[in-house]
Amino acid sequence: MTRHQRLDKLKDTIRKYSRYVSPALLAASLVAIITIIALFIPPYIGMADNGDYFRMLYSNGLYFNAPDYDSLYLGYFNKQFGIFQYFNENGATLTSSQSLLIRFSIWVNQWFDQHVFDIRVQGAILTLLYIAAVYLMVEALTWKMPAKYGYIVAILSVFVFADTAYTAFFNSFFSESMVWIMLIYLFASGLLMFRKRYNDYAMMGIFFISGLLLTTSKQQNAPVGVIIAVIAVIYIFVRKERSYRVLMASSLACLMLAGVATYVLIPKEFVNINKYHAMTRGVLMESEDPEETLQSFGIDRQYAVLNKSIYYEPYTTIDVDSSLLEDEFYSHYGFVSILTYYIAHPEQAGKMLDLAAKNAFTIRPPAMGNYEKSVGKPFGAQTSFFSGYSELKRALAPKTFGFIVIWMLVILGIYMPHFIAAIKAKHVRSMLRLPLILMVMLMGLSGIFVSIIGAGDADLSKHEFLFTAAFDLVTLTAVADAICRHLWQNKPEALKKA
Amino acid sequence: MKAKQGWRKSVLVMMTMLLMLPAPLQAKAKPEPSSLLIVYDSLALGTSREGNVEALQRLLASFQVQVTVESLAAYQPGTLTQYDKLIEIQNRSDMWDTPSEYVKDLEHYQGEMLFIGEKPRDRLSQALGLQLMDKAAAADLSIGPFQENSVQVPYLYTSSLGEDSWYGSLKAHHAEAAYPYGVRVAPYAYVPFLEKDTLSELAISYLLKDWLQPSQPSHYYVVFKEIYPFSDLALLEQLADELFEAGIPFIASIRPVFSNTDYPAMKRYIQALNYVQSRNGTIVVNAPVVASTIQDLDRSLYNLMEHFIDVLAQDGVIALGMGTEMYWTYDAHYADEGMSFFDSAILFPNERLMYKSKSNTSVAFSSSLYSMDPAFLKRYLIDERLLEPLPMDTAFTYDLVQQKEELLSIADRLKSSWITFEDYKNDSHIVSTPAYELKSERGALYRNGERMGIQAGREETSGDYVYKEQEEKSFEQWFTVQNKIFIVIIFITLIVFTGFLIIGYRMYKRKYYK
Repeated sequence: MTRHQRLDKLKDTIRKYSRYVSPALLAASLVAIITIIALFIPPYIGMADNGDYFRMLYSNGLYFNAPDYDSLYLGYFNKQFGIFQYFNENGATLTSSQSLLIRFSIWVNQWFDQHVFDIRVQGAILTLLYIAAVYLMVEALTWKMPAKYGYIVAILSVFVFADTAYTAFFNSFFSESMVWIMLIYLFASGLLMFRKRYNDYAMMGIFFISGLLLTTSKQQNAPVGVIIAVIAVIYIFVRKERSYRVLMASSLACLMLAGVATYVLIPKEFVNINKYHAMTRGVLMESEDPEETLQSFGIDRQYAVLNKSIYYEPYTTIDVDSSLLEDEFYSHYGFVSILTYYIAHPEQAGKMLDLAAKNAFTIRPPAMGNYEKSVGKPFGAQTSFFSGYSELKRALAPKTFGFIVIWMLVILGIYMPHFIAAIKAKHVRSMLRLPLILMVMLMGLSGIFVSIIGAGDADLSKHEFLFTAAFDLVTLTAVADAICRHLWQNKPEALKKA
Repeated sequence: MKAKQGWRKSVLVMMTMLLMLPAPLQAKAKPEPSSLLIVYDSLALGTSREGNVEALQRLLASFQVQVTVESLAAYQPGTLTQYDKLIEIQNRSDMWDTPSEYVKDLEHYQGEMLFIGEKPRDRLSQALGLQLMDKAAAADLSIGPFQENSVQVPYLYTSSLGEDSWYGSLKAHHAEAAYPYGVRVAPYAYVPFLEKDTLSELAISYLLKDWLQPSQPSHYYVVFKEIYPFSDLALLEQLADELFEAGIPFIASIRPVFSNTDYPAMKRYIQALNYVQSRNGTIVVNAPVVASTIQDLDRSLYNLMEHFIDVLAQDGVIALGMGTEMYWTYDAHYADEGMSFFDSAILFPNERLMYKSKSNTSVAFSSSLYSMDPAFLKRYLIDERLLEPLPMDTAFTYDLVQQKEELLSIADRLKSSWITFEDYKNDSHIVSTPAYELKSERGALYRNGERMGIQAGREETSGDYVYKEQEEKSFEQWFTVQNKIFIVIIFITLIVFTGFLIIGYRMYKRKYYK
């Protein structure tokens, strides 16, 4: 058989199978299989508690029922928790979309067990959501793409989406799982509208709900609502019908409000940790004269001794939640005053951004273990099962803020000609892709800025999750478009018609 | 031959018993008497007697006794034989008569006993001549210069022993007769009830004193706590001046700082402490705050405390003891890592329990002050002028408030008080780190054997302190020049490139749009 014959045979095979298994279905199925192996077949993979679970658990009617729970912190994943059988004095408050997910998971769990909550129930719900999200995303990337390229993109997507650095979050109470899945839905629905693949109203619904759940998943994501609301204005003009435009506009207004509400409504205890770090591990840390800096905020210069200290220190001079700090320290600054400070001290801001970039490409936070204690792995051991992409990214990405800027410019640059052509053709739908990419990039950037302003350099790799997620989606899209020559070659719909 | 074997056996038994003795958590402090066991049936949570076990623990610590606390349910057979003193606390009536290993051991127990509760054991009841007079009666409790009116007394006992064996008196409202609060005749003692933060807490201390430490004199001290590097240090110095002029020695329990100890802010803190020391104040190190956050930080409390004591000592501030919540003495980790430098302590009531390695047995200190809110004493005092020292060394404890008026009013109250306050430095207190041995004796302070003057110098903290070390940059000049050259080259390239683009575009237009 000659080379040509072999190639023809391969093409035939691909054509035959692509009738039954589209690239999106292939990617979703592979991600499903790998995720199920990772999360639901022993040894189960999940995330250890870093101390943040408490707030989330008790406010949603769960409690720690493992007698040795203290020994599991940071080291081991724990899959079972008790369900309160009596009045929950902790005040069940619904403050985030993460709470909504946990409540729903508890409700489902109670069909099987009234007393013990198994976090794998939540894992299963998230996995189902995730598979659908991956399907939509790969469909958006490969729509109208030649089958041979489509399968290459599908395989590449599997490497990103099935990475256990992402999926391990499903078996945890961290809101990163929600952030990741909703970001994919948001991006995929936006892209599918651009491709005109499904019904616009359905996509608008997904766009709105995912945006809402993403914004309200944690306080750090408050700017996300605002960014979507501002940049997605162009989506209003995709169709001419009044009903569509009203619906889209009111969705965006809702997202804007959700952003503001998320910022205002988050519990105070959480704010203290971040406020402490914002000053001691941020503003003061890179200051040439911490005393002068403190005085510029109206704080007693003696607080300089707290410079570089962290909230989690086991032995401290002062209780980090004490009324003295509350009155004399925390009350003197906030998000806005720190932002103003960094604007006035760009050199310091630059140093912090470089510091932030060092952790901006890490998906799996290094501090938390992935296995249950019973597996017998050492304390804090992390899985290497299907982690090729996350490991590669962590090892190879240049970790400076300059690289992030260059990456943004390059991506925007390669999508720009298409956007300009669409403007010239006055074809709104074809204009959607660049703003969408810009929107996700800005969300990622907001993740970095909010981390630094809100919590200094503490827990950076966890706080910057939004950036690393945005980076992956945008880069994957650019690579997929490059593979199937959608960057420059495919002209806007209007131009094609012309 | 048999006699010889018997002798060997008894030596063997004695050695085994010695080995079974609980090892004290800290070898340095050698309290007298050596060991005491508290057995309680219930902590009485949610009742008026909640906290009475803890109150008793704190009182016993101030008598320098090493205490082991055991619940009746967790009692291990044979434990009792290891102790020469026993306190039983009966907080509920249904557990004591149940036959148990403890009751069996108690039948053979030969040591001294104090019973707190409703139903004293027959042996003790007979020895003290106790007779139940009434139940659940209202009475006035008085002892020494103190009186608490209308106390709901669960049980009123009288004793056939002479009144010299009585402690305090309970005068029932419905009868003329007065009954004792406590009765003691060696080896037995009895009190019918003990409640935290009531006069009974003070009343029992008179009995405990005679029982545990009859000959030791006791004193009053003044302690200020909640002193941070961020407190109003000028106000602290003003307080020191006020008290110095009034001749009132005092103790400052200061919060430790574990990082940035070379900062000017820290120097100002140390200067203020130096000043306090020069105004007849004594410095003790307050326990650090134990965080409730979950962390994976491997911090050695021992190293942190050692560093802080050394930093103070280096600048002439001699810390003579430690101020801490009482539960620290029942925790092997804190005892070994945080308290082993000190032989003296001031024990505050527990506020937030953060055990790391909880132990049933306490560490005893050769000097241990009983911290007390002065308002508590005032509540029961009939006449302030009558106030003799309480049975134990007592520290009137105040927080260093941030409002000037409030703080000066505390100073005024102390000045107008009839109480004589003792200088902490008059006793011997020793603090040892690998680098320093700090001690006090008869009012003088010593650092590594050298007597320290207590004059504080006023030194302005340096304004040119370098917070961030500038990194050594080699070839800095070279890279600056190189940078400039590259910037120029890149600009020229950009201009040329733009030119080419424009030319190319024009050529393209000319070719296709003719």
